[in-house]
Amino acid sequence: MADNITLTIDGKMVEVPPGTLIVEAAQRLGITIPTFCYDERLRSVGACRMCLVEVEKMPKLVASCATPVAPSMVVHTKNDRVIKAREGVLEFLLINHPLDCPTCDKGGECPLQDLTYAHGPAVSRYRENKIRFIEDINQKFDDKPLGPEIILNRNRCIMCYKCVRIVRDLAGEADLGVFKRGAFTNISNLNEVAYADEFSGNTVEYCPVGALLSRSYRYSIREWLLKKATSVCNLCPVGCNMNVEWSAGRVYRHMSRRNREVDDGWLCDRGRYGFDIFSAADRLFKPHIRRGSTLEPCGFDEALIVVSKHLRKIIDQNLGMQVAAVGSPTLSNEEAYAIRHFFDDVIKTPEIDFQTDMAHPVESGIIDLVGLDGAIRDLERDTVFVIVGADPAVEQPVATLLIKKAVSIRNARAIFIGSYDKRLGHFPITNIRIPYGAEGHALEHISNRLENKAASDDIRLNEEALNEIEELARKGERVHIIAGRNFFNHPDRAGFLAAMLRLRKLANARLSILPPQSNFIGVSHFGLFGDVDHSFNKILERIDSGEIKTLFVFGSNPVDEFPDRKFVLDTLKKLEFLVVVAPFMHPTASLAGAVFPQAMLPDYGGTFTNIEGRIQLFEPMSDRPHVAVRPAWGILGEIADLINLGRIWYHDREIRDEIARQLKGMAVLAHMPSDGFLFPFRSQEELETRPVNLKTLPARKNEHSYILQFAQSVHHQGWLTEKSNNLMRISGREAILIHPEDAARDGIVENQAVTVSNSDESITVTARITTHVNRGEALLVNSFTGQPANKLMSRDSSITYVSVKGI
Amino acid sequence: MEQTTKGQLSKDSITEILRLKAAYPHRKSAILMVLHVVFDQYGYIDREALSQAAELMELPLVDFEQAASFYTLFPNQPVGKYHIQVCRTLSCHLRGAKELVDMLREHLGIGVGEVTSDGLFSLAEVECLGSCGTAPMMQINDAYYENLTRSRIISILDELKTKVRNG
Repeated sequence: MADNITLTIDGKMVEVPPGTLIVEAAQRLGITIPTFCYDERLRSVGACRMCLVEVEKMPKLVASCATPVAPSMVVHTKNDRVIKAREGVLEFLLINHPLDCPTCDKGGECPLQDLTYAHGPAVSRYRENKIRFIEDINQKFDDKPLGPEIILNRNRCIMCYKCVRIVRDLAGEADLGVFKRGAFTNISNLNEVAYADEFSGNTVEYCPVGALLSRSYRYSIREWLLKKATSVCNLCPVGCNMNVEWSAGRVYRHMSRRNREVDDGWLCDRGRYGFDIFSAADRLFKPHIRRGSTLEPCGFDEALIVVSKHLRKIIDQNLGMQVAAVGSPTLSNEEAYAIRHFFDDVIKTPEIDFQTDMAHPVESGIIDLVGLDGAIRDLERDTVFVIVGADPAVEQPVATLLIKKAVSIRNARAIFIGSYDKRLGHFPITNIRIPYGAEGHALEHISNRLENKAASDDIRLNEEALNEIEELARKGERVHIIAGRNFFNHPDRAGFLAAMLRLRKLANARLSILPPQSNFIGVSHFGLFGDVDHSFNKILERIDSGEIKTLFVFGSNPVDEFPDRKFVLDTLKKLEFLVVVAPFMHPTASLAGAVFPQAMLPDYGGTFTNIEGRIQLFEPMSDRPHVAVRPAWGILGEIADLINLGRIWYHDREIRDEIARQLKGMAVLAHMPSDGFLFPFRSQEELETRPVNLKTLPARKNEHSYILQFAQSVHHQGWLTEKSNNLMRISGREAILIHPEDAARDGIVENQAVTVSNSDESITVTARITTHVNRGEALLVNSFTGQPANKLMSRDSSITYVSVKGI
Repeated sequence: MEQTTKGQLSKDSITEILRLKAAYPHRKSAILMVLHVVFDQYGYIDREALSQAAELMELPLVDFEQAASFYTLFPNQPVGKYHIQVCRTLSCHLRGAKELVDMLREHLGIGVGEVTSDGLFSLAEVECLGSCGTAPMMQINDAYYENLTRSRIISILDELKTKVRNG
């Protein structure tokens, strides 16, 4: 490391590492140089000239955001020459700026407004006409939609290129470009391609003027009327910090709340625009109880009394074993703990689980391995990513930014092993295509090479890519094996895991198994984990056999999620009493005897645990809890009171205090630091290698059968995101991808409606023909509950065989 | 200018683009040269051919489009047999370029960016062509016409028309 450089800024000495920019060095002294185009996370372009400063012995003023420091530099940021230049730059920027601040979304939080106030000229000398980009002569505003959500007003743009850099350098896409030149320079996309990559909302948040707008927020409220609740996104397990901005009980938008350790200020579009799930029109605000065949709305107390009477009877007769409870991996840690405590200690039943979308639950030995190896920030230092059975760009978008950064800036290699092709923006990656279920086999090929053993001939793989991985692993590169969603429903999970552990050891790699749901790690560790004997699948069987008569469902929707929809429906109907805590009247809630409206973010407070094991606090949108809806602990606490056990909890803080007292190493929960704290959840002992016994690969049943796989998209993940109008506007339609050869054989053409069926059930979707999937396999993307995919799945096997026929 | 189907790069163009792709350490550096290849084949930047070129170069189409839009010498639609480009930058502007453009519009009966119905002339305003000492000036295809006056422009256009009539 070269020696630090000492320079003088405004008469003060500062010592910084070489390569530091003047603007950053000034920051260390507490001197703020005004900027528009500068962002420390993006490449400097020196486009706006706002940051001009004087450097002694340099004839012209220099852009401090693009000039690295040099030894003995003497910088002036406040002398007359600089002040005059700033005034001049602002005067130029305002020449064609429309000054429509009263109707501009950015008004009140606009860097151009603020910096003009601080440094600008009070009057304009420009008397000529402003250049105006007229998009539609019939429209009052010159707003041009770039895509379903992002809208551009080119008149306001000051050409800082931040949006273009966010799209290119961060998301790695190429949707936006800079067109024309001179005064007519403008940002645009190609007309036929809608701009909707997974980070598009960041361009709006970081636009220094009101040029980029969100359709969901445009012209809805003034910024200064919004109150902010510090929150954590729960639509994926990265746990990006954000502010929920609300007024009068309505959420208007999500803005990032920069946590350098987690999100570094970015939010993906799912997290940013999913805010309207909270205020969806059919959101449940009243409890319902069943009278005869109908569910009728009722008061909270009435519903609580019905449930507590039932439970009192069960407790009195000592029939706790007949009760089961299932949660959801999106519940808070406090809710998970409360559910465990209530059903374990009060009702005395071991039947507690949360994995309501998996027929084959993750066993305790594996659950201790789930999570990221190391911290999120460490991802950018890895040099080889072996991503197997995962699509992190969809599952954990913001963490994937660091993989993209490693690939684009540090030339790391990203190698995807899977049965269909993935992408990482436009960044170069290698896709190693394998037959469905062959993840373990592919990893064994690599491990065998590293041990100089002969490879088996079970599958054929891209030799070139294998050679590359072998070579990189031998060179001692930092290899990171990442598994994801497809690991959890893999037909040979044990074999897959053993193969990963073997490769991990041979390549001296890190191994991360990333859960797709937001609080999978927290919920399983704070109480909802039911081992294999008490999994939801076993609970269903015991309901079927009559052993379990009462079921509580918190936050999940097994009818729409769990394999074999018909079995779930039939089984739940056999219950004597079903209690569902739900934000919507979904198909599971419709079967219930009592339904309670569930509190959603930001109705209530609590903590989530993200993939790196960081426990983070989220707060309700006001100090006064929303009376109509309650979190799981709120409902259980009142039920406990009614069955004469005394109310257990009034506030999420009490539960944290209780956990802090009871669980080892959790004392810090009583005093949550604002940026969360890292708790090492992953068990290192479980990482010992184990013998690899791979199952034979599943074969298609006959020439017309397909093995069906399921993929989600960034904007759509299931029944919950379906409630967001914003996300549904951005998200693509559901489709089934099939290989051209299969399509030709079965007479299916692009965009044709097809029925996808197993022996009993079928759904109708649109066919897309692509070589991105294997022959004999089909990929259902963006599945909606209108055509429920779980109809086609089986509880006995992770493999779904279907036939596909054109309509 | 070799003749080919619309929206389809010729064999020669494809060979040249693939040569350019390999010739630069960064493929992006070849963008301007690729635009020239497309322009040489069509006389303008054909959208479909350009997207074919982008695919060959394995670069996003928007990179080509934005570069093409920067340069007035890459028109994005077919131009006349004689493509008239009038400089509108400072020196020419001060010496009456705007009036010349108005006069040309009236004389040819077309607006800026349009082609005459006989396909003979098209009109464009462009930035500085580097001939400020002889302002105002225009470029017709590859030739410069300098120190322009109204009458000189009319005689230049008549001359070109005669040339066409005489084959």
